[in-house]
Amino acid sequence: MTAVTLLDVKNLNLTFKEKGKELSVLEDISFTLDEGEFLCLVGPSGSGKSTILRIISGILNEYTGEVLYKGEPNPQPNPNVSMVFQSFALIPWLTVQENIELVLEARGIAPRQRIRTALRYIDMVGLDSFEDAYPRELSGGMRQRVGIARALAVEPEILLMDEPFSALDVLTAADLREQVVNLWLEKRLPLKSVLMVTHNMEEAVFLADRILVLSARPGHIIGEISVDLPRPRDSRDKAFEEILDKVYSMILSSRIKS
Amino acid sequence: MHKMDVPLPKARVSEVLGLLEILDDEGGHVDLYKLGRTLGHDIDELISTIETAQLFNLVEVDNGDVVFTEVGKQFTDQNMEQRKNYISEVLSKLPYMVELLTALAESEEHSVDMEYLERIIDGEYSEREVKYFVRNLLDWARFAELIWVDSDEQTIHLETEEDEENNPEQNDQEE
Amino acid sequence: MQLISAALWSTYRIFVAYFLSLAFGIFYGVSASSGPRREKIMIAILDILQSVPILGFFPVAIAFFVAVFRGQRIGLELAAIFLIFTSQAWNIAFGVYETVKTLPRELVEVGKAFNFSKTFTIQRIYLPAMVPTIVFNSGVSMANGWYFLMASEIITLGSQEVKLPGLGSSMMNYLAQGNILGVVMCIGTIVLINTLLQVLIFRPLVKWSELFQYNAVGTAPEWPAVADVLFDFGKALKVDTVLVKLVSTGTKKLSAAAKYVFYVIGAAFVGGLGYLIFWLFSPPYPSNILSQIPAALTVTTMRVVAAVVIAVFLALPFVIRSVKNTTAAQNIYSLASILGSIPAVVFYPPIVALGGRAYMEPLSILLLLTGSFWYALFNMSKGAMLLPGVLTEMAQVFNIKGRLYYKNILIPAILPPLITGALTAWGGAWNASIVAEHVQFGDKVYSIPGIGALLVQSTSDTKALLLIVLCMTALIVLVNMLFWRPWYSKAAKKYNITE
Repeated sequence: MTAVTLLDVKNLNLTFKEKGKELSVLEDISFTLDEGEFLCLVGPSGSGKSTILRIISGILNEYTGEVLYKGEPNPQPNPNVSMVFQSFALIPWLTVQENIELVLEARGIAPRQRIRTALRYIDMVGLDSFEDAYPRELSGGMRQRVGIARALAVEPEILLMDEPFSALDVLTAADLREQVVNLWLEKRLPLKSVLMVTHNMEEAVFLADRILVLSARPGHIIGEISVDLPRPRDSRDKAFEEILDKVYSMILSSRIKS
Repeated sequence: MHKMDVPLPKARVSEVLGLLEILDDEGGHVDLYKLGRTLGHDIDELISTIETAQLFNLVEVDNGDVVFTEVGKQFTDQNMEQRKNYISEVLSKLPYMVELLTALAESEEHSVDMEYLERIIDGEYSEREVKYFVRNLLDWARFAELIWVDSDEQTIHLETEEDEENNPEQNDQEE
Repeated sequence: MQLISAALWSTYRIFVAYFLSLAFGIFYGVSASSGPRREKIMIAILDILQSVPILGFFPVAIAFFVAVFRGQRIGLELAAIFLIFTSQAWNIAFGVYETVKTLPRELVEVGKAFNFSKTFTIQRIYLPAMVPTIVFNSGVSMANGWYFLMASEIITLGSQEVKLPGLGSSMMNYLAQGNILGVVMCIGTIVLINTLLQVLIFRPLVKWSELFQYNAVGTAPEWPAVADVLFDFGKALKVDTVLVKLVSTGTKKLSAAAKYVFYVIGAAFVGGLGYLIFWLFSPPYPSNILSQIPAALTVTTMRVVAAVVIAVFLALPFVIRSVKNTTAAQNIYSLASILGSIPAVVFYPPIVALGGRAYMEPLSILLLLTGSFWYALFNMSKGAMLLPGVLTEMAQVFNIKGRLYYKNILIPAILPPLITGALTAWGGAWNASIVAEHVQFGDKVYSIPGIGALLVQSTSDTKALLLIVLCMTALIVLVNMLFWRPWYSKAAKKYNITE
């Protein structure tokens, strides 16, 4: 592959102190995110997968190692990186449209342009006619659509997704996953790559081009599996199940001696 | 790398019993991904339950499948009394359990305070992890009727013969 | 030695007042929540009681207790306890009312499903559910009681002044003698007592009270020794039966006879009040004082508003600090509850004497701040602890900073607790205003115009005094009703972060 490397994460290490003990959270994490790639990080809780997203997005900056964006040190915050949160992180007192306009205003975009862009992305995630609703009036699935619209509205190259479907019920999550696949396949967006964190193995196989498997604390990369299946994928498909079994075996093999 | 491999039960009793139940229904072996699907793809629960079942030598993982061991097969056919006896036998040989039981036997009142286990579990664990280990260890030890816990006093007590006749929970309510 | 006996006297008064407040709070809170009609009337009354400046109660209470006990010491003692009571009772009553009101239905249904007797339901369901609020509000009530200690121990009867033994009156004596060391010792004793109360009783109890939280998960908190001791004492003194009685009478539907009695008492009360008002508004008018009220009230209102605004702005940096930093927030909270118990009123006279009349205006606002800042800080830092971490993370990811961050995220998030803080600070500042405008140090009197000064000047004229208190209370209640409450309910609905 001759794809351009967007993100280059090198030897990430992170420890935190608790009652005089030094506890290692991340151990020697290295990987790349290429242009056009949908990459999933999977692992049990405590593997530090969300921590990696927080380092890339600039929320956390006490770590050792390097994060390079197009070969240069990753700016903090990087305007080309955007994020979707597990618990949506919508501001309850702002309407759907105001929530999206807020992040556009933070980018210094002029008022009229803000309105146009916000409405366009509200349409894109299928929330037309909900722009004046407050988050509390929306179901979980619709709230996360707002979260996704907000993340896309700043037109990032890299979209970080932190367990975006895990706070939703099973059916809603399945539907929203399909929508994300469709958005991704359409390629209408300036979006180049997605880096998603999940602890749902099936979700990872359903969405990703490539899966990185992390161990429990201290998190390190156990292995990597590419998913060469055409989209949209079917989780009852034989080839799908084989890959799923491979991911499960890999995650268990690091801990359980067969 | 097996930093996390401390010989302690990481899942609760009910979770392991549930896993054995599923395994029994599936005829003694089940694909990992199918098991994952049953658990709603909760990888944490899956790992900790399989690991704990392995600790008691009840299941093994073989080429992407979870299968019964000989002991595990027998265990599912046993009654509660026999199951408790088996668990008690394995549990009382685990290092931290040995340490706890010795301390209980040596103490005058046959009791230690709740923080005792938190103090002896050392190594690179966060406070949350240690609390979680302790919770599960106590869960198993109570199931195996090795100890009983007084939540009001925050103490762990050795389960002795008289105590068994005279259920301590009832004592509590009478007070 | 004298210090110890003074400390014992003060502590005894504060505790007696506290236990009375507790009994009153439980009874009143439970009754207010046990019927829609009662609720309306009782909560309205409580709202007014809370708005009457605490020191405004005092002259009335003295007049009453002195008359009943014919000037005997016991009357004065009761008047002092009553004053402390008024600084403690209302917030406990409100807390109990809210808990019972929001008691999970299933819990009440358990009692019905298992056929619990009334006593048993109260003992095992109602009382335990109240524990967290009572414990928390007791801390605030205690601090409040100490703050008003001085005023409660010095009683003015017409032109003569009676001092009850205690830390408050000792401080006054030391001040009069210019004995700074004595004053410092008294303050030290108050801080020591409050720190001990915090460390030995309130902190362990607050932790323990998590046990009574509905649907909590995780390890149960330890049963602290204090709780055991309190329980044993309670049992020995039959407090449990008293509490059950209080709750059961509180929730009882009035029988026909009781209703009759109640109506008679109510009618008598209303009649008495009517007569009082009639008397107040019938000639001869203390016209020289009446004509001064509007101007005095305006000046004091301006000072109070200034103090509230300053208190809120002073608290803001602390609040910003405690966002995403629970340790900082908890420390600020504990410290505020200890510092809030220091009766800053003590420092006031010598400082005014030192500065002279020229500096009295800014100094008076400073004193109002000591009576109001803590409330703003308490409530606002509570709000900051509630701000979800994920919103601050979101702000970082999308680079929302500065004006945009404060305007859209931080200020709205803390607005409901900020309004509560400002509202309580407003009440606190009014309370302090009564001592802020008129000061006697040695044989010199310093005074600035205002309703507090007017009040002090007219202590010998009961009619004028009552009129002043009435005007103050009316103003406070009016502002609460027309400004604070509507603003709060609007903000609480819109800026609800738990949604």
